[in-house]
Amino acid sequence: MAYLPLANLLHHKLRSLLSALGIGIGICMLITLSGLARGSLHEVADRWESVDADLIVLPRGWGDNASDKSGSGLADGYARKIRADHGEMVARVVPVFTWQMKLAGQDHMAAGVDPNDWPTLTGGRALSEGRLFDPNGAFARWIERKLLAPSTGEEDEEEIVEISPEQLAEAGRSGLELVIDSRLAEAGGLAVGQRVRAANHDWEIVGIVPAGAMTRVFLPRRAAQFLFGSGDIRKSTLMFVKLRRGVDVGPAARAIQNTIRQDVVPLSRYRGMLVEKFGILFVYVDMVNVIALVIAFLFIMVTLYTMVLQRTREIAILRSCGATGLFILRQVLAESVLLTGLGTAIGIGLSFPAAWAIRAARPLLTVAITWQWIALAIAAAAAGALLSGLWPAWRAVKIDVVEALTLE
Amino acid sequence: MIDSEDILVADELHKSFGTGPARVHVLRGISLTVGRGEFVAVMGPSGCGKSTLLHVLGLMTPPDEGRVVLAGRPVGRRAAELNALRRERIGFVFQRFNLLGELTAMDNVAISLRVRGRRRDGHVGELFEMLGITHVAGRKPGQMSIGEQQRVAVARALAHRPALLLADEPTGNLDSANSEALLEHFRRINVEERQTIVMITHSAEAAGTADRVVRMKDGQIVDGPR
Repeated sequence: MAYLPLANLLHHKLRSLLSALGIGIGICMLITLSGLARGSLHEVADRWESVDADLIVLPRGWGDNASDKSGSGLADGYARKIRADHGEMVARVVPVFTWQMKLAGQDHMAAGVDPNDWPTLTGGRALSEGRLFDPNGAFARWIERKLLAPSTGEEDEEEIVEISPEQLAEAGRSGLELVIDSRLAEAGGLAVGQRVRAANHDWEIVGIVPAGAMTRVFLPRRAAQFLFGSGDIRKSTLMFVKLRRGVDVGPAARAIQNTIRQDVVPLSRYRGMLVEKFGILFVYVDMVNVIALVIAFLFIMVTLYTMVLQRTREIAILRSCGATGLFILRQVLAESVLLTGLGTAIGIGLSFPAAWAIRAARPLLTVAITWQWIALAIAAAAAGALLSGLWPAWRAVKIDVVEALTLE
Repeated sequence: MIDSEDILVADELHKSFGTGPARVHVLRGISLTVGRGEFVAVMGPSGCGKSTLLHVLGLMTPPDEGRVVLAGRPVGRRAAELNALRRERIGFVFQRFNLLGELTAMDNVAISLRVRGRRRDGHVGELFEMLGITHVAGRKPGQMSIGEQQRVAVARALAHRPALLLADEPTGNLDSANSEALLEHFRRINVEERQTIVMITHSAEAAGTADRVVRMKDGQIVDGPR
């Protein structure tokens, strides 16, 4: 025997399909937008956690706001002090100068790093193409000679050292060179050997690193310090600290913080910083999703209510056959669940091409469709189906059989 | 006194609708007895209370006063009891057939059985054959003639072997040929199956098919009670 709720839905195919599509769009939005907001944020956190380090040293007071800070903030001397005072527990200290650079139409955090620290910063990633910038350290030595020459006691402390872009880029010095990650290269159509303009300077792309490293853009730290740090090459933005094997992160962080009086946090804290800083985005996205789902379920409620009104006589006939209120309630709720189930399947199915379309349009965005969010969408849909079906079902139960049958 | 052969006894039924000045006293002390296997037609002008009587006898609404005894059992007033008795003992045929448009003829009958917690058995096939609707078993109402639809409605009303078949103007929407055929089926069912039938009708011709005609006027029976 045909299942009555299914037969009802099949009897009004277009209306059922449109109702299910309404739910489908809501579910698709829930999965895709949540996947986009959270995927992009956690992709950044994943990249930072790929750094082969245990602690991050940040200028005092930056605290949880450190995730969007860049430029000069921390004297390089702290690196020497940490090594000197905590050599027994610190294996490496890696100073990094960060700055914003626009490439392929999007702002990126660019990390200035010394070539020697490359393996630590990129978690041991080898370049997939090209070479590392300033491979022999020639540029670093050249600019250090220029700006950090030993004092003779006769210089004017206010002396301005001029270095032209031509000098910076002079062949053999390798100052204005970039390494980018493979995703940026693909998104921007960038290749090794290509020259690009960013942050008011012309750069040559010399290498490509597989995606997943700390940032998408890397450059020589000395060049970053000089160009974006007001010419002061004695300060960086932050430092990564790699502890020796067996050293506890918490006590080590406290010990270093006590010594240098700057903020020292575990690397794993960075994800939390990002979520705290940009978590409000989740609230916006989730609100939009909730509103979309509520509208979709109101649509279902109206559809079911209309169906109930149209079938008053049929429902009365079932009641005249002795159908209990529970039987009628179950029929209407079953229709709601069927419609929502179909809509949920459509929504889940649509979310994959939607994610693909977002990636195709904006390749640097990450849409993470996870089973957790699919499960949440199914749970939300199930709850919505029951809630939106409840009122029409109740109205169906309350139909006055005699009145409905008298209106011949 | 209730005869064990009486399937339905209505005793001094009163029923009103509305309140205050708008109150309408529709049934005014109706008493009626229907014997097992009897075919009774209830006739009367519009507004005389025929349909209300049918609803009270069909346990769809309780009387304000009086009592109904169905198959020897006095009927109470609780909705659950009325529902259960209606489910087990009564079958309805309506003027507008009221088949579920989404279901085939066979499924319309099957769902009435499911509502009653029963499964389809050979009796349904026999009914379809007796009513000459086997060929429309797989069709939906929109694909059937009105005569076929009404016969499917009759099959639905009889599928659970009710003690009492109540028909409210069953020929009201049918042309004369279909009316005649339906009444012939009622007669056969009544004679061959000993099915008790109470039929409300405007038509003297339809009423002529019954064993007994009860006439109503202004909420009272004026002729033919037993």
